[in-house]
Amino acid sequence: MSEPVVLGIESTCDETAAAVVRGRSLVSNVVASSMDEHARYGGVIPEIASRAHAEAFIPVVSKALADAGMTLADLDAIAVSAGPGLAGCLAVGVSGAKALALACGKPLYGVNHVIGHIAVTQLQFGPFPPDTLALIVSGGHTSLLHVKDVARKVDVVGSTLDDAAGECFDKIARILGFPYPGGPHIDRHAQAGDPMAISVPQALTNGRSGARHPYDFSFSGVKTAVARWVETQHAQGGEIPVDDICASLAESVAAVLSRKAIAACERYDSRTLIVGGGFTANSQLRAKLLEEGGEHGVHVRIPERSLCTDNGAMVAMLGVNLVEAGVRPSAGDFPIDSAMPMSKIVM
Amino acid sequence: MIGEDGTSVIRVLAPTAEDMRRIGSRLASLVRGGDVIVLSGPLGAGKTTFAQGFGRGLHIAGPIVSPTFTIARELVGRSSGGAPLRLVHVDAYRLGTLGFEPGQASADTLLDQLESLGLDEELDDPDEHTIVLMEWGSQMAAVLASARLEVSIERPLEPKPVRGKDEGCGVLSGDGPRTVVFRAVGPAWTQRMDDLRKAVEA
Repeated sequence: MSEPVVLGIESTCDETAAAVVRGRSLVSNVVASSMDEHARYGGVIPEIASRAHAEAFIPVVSKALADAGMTLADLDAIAVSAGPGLAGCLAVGVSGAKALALACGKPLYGVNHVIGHIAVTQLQFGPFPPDTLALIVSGGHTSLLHVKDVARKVDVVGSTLDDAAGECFDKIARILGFPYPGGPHIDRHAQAGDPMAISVPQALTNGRSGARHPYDFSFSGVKTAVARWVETQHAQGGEIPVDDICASLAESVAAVLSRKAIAACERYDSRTLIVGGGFTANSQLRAKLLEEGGEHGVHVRIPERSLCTDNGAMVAMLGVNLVEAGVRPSAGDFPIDSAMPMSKIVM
Repeated sequence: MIGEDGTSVIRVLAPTAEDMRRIGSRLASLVRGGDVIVLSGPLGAGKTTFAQGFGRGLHIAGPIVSPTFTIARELVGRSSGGAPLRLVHVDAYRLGTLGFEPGQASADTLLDQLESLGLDEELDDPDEHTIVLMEWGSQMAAVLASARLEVSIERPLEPKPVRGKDEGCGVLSGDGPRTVVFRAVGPAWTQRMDDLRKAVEA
């Protein structure tokens, strides 16, 4: 089969999305905007509710097919994120995808959302060189993965032991009084601050814990240290140096992520580092990755923003890889897995 | 120790993160299917650290990480007697409404959000193979779960200067002692408080 055509469906968390990929080309890409809902409710997360996914599912899938000028009959397969994510949200996407696959008699793949973040980079940069390393960092994930074969073998090199990097940013942003999502506000304030003003801890980077967890991350202690420092300043009636706090935090987190990612590349003799996930939009991380990569001869592939955040293209692209590799589709009754391990590519 | 409202209360000191995990693990040895445990405390108190120990005590193989982003994670473990148990690890931080503390809003709003996430039934009446461990959920748990164990973690505002092996002087730190307070609500936990005291103070 040349150039498989796959419909990808994504509903792991906030976004309901669908896309069609043919070979390495993105044919259509539809993401339901959650920000309007957000403002309307004034709440933090109404858009993650399963019923929001249920309402968006048919319009989003229909538009993805219509934009591609296709019907279900034109597809070679359907792929859907089966985990990790919020159970109620995953269930909507997976149930819907199962119904579509059954109705049109096409094979269905229940895939790992995080591996999709790796796969999607092929749309912009082409095939993976051998021994590619991937850093996936978002509000919900922080992982270093070794990509032997994106359809068959991905190994976990390191992962966060507690909080994701994006979560650490969002929680500190809330303490500083920024609206949700707080990451972009920290980014902007950080650009005006002094990254050396406050010494923010860098967990698991040296000493015994660093030796035991060379490629793992921990951002819970960073969050606690900064939160407590801000609270103490508040209690003492002191002025909070917001720009400096943001700059110091961003510098610390970007440095740890970049150094560990590049160290893992050296360990695996990898000359290519793929980056994905919503936190990739952070400008301090982008700059640090390119700087560290340049110093160590590692080519860093940072995709455009629309491919970094959650979308259907990542799911469809991984589906194409699975079809091309001849991987057997998921069983008709495959379950969702809210804590799907990174080493599992397909259900 | 008897609380102000007549309920029994246990207070235990956790000087380090590993102590916190040990206390969580000891609690896990006493749980049974259908239990609801509500963890509260300020940002960075050590709720996820406690949950990591709790998961270790339930022989859960995978990592216990913060469920903030996905609101709930389901993990498979087993009780001290070897029976399979499903742990639903919930984090209500992103629920609620802006203007309130994380996880808090009007009761109607919270119930609506829990219902839309399919979590209201889990809290209201977990089945005999399910344990619910909920972070940031004290307000909604009080509405839904009439029987529960409340675990609140207190951390001091001003940390003592810490000169850890891994960190030089002058670096901000999240380390330092915490106090864990257990409070039983309903007979199912009140009956187990003596055993719990022995387990966590040992």
